Amino acid sequence: MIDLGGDAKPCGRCGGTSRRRRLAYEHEPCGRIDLTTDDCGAVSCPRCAVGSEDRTHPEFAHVGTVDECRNCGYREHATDATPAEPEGSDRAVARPSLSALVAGGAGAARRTATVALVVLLVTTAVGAGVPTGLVGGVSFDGNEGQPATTQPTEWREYRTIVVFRNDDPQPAYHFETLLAVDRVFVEENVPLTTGVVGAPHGEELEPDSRFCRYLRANERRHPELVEYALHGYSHRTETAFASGSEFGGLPAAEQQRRVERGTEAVTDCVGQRPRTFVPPLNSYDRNTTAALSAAGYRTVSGGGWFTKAYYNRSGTFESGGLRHTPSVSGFVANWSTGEFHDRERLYGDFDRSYRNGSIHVQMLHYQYFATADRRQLLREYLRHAKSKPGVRFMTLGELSTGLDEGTVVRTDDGWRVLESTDPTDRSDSTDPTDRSDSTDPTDRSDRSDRAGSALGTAGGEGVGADGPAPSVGSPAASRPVRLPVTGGRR
Amino acid sequence: MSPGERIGSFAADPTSLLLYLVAAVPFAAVALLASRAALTLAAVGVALGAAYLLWSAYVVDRKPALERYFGVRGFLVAAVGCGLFAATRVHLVALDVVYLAAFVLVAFYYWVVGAGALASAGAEGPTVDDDALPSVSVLVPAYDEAGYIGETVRSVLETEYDPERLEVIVVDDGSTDDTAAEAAAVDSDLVRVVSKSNGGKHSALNYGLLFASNEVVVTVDADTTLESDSLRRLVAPFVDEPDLGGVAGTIRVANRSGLLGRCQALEYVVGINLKRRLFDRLGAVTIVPGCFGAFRREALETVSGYEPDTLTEDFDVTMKVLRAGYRVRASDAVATTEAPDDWRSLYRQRLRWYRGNLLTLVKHGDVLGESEAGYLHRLAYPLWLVESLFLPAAGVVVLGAVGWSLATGETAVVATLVAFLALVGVALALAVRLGDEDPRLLLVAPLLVVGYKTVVDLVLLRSLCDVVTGRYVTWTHPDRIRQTTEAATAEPSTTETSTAG
Repeated sequence: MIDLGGDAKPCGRCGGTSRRRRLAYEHEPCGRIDLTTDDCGAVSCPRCAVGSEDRTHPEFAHVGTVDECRNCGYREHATDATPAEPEGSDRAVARPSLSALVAGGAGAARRTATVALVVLLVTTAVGAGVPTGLVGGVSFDGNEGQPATTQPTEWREYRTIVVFRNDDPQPAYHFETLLAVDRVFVEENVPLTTGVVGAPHGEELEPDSRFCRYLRANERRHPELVEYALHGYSHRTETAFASGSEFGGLPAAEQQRRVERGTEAVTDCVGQRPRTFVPPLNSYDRNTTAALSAAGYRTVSGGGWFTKAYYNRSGTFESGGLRHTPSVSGFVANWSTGEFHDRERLYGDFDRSYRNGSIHVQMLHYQYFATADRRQLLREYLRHAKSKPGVRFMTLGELSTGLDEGTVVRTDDGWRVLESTDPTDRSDSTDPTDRSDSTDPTDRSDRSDRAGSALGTAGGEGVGADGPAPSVGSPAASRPVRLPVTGGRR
Repeated sequence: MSPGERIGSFAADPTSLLLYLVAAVPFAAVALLASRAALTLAAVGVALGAAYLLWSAYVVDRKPALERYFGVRGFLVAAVGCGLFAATRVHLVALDVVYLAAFVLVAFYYWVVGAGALASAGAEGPTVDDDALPSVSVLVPAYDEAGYIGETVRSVLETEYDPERLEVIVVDDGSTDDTAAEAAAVDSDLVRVVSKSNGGKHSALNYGLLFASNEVVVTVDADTTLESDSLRRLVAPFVDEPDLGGVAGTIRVANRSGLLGRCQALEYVVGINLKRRLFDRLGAVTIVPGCFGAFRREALETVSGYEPDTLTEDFDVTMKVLRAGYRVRASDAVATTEAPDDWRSLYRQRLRWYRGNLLTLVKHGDVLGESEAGYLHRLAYPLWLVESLFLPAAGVVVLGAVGWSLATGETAVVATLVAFLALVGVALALAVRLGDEDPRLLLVAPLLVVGYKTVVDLVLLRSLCDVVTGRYVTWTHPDRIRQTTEAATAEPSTTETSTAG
């Protein structure tokens, strides 16, 4: 990037004279074009997660030069720049392959493509007068699982398990910000549990709304990164329980009604039944867990401050037929102003979980990430977590399933997780070797969402989660973590 | 307006409705000519298809939680099962299966697609105040378009659109002629000409997106001209439909003087006024044509813009936008473009289109497993497969079989053929009527059954072979009338990638 100072021609929109020159680079395999962002000339493709510090990466081609107004961002072609070299036709483009679709497509698509081909062959054979036989091996769609395969697995050890929980998504409420926040998680390859409100302001979700179609599409595109949870029915404060709750303190029948109707609304909206419940205002009572258990839920994730006060437990634990995995920290310090905790405190909370080898559930509310600066802070927070060796990211549902099935086990040093070693298995992109990006975060911090509680526990959301419940053992961090591989992703 | 409401409304004029119902006569004739066994099988096929469509409408619009049940795979299995069961009970001549499938498909296309088109034909586009219209960035990618680009840019500027909400970005994709100079010579502050090294249309569009600062992005090919109200009609639907990701414009062939031009004009009319109208009502139009279409910029950013891997970037990006959860609709906003005026140019254009379409279908094959994709999964994508794989082959097979029958003295098939031709004729007439087009176009209607259609089918089959064997090429560049007659440019180099539409 070159600063053109005040000598450049005026901006075509605002007349400002302070402009900077940026180079446009195309990532040839995917076609995405981005501008260089800094003086060292680094180029990158966020979509494909590849880049180069010095613009020499063979997949990137300089395609043009742009002058950008520092005042209003208006861009114009830099007429006096050295023309880029023609790209020609030797572009590194991989065309879609029919054989790859049939042989290696996603499970459901592969089966359907196979059925389609069989139908085509049958039709062709009959049309050509060739006797045909019965076609076997096909079935109605909908209830089949993946083809039975035996994948190689191995146990891997981690210091901590980190879960991100995004509360409050609902239609017509900061939708663009939701997209932008989701994009950060996708680009950083970090899974996210999203708590969807079943009937925000009393109106149940409309399955055909853009909001619901986006949620379904997002899950379809990134199934390994997305889990949808029920985040209450109306998200209104109905009782004074724990200084305000939608569920806690309501009669059991009413709670059951809210759980059932909320579950139905979210199921219709996201296309699958949620098995994780995130209570609005982070509080619930035993009637809530009974209703959730009856409705087939497996996980509840309230606030750490709440479980400490109500159950006298922190970390993850079993009670009332559910796994409770409360949040440990959050971003918002002041709910009236939306002010965040400072970076030192945020990072400090995470580092404490990491030191203790405990589960770190980080709560966030997407609507507070409306500005690019705040999303950058989120991104840096994710990268801070990824920079630590031995960090395993999961959704709440994945964590519960792992603990239930014994594929996630507490150890003296942290956690052991049974994972596939198949590099093509995308569900294992949470491999530590994938996660320990050596991006350099700037170190500041802050923490937790809802400070204090009516149940008398000060200090926010059970900061530090002093250890998991007895069902998974007590945390310890006296010995170093043994990891199969550490280091950067590329 | 929700799809359910759109489906529920009906606004056809009585003449169109009458024309639509006239098709019952040739259908009845075909039925009378068929054997009882064939008729029973066809009825089963029609019933199965109707059940599938009704179920699809219910689960997509009312009950998405059930979308995974009786999807396209279930339908295929049911159809094959019925066919195999019938084969054990009824003596089928080899060609009967192809005839039956063709009949069921024709019935579907006419009675279902036609009804959808008829229902939407009389609907007026949204009425929007000028103040409410979104700001628009018009992208005009251009490679060696001297002789065209100036007129195109002027036609954009002359549309009735508030200049305060309009910007035009001409992307010169490394042209070897005076394209950039001709565009820059247009005297307007609204126009910016940006140049880049040659990289193809997708690359030019992605580069143009860097400069686009408005809410809606309209793409216009450099050989396309707009009517005065085209821009506002095209973008008006974005105002009231926040989940609308794209709007396809209506393309009209400019050079209709020759036989080939008329055939293409009629072909465009049929495509736009029948199938596309149905999918407009469902919010699942699968191609926003690069030569005149609009996208919400946010939708393009969500799907990371255009990609290079399919040769038909407009089809590809529309599929991506649909799969991202947006609706895509069509508009009556008209743009006029030049169609190839000789068989060689047509062959090259269609080769690229069909290869690109097939590559895009392969690329988005996962849609077959995505029951959440709604009408794209249940209807739009499967129809693409049928049109790209079955229909061309069936057309050639049926034509050959009819020829063989006539050659061997079997004249019974002639009656069926006449009934079928009558049916196609009614369908074409309906399309012309709905599109308010010149009825004289119907004079070339027989060529859209045999002749022009056969050539197009063969090009499609050739493209299919190319895709199966992996024999792809980069862009092919149809010769342009003004450029060839004026010898303004040489034949495009095979080492460069065209940005033509």
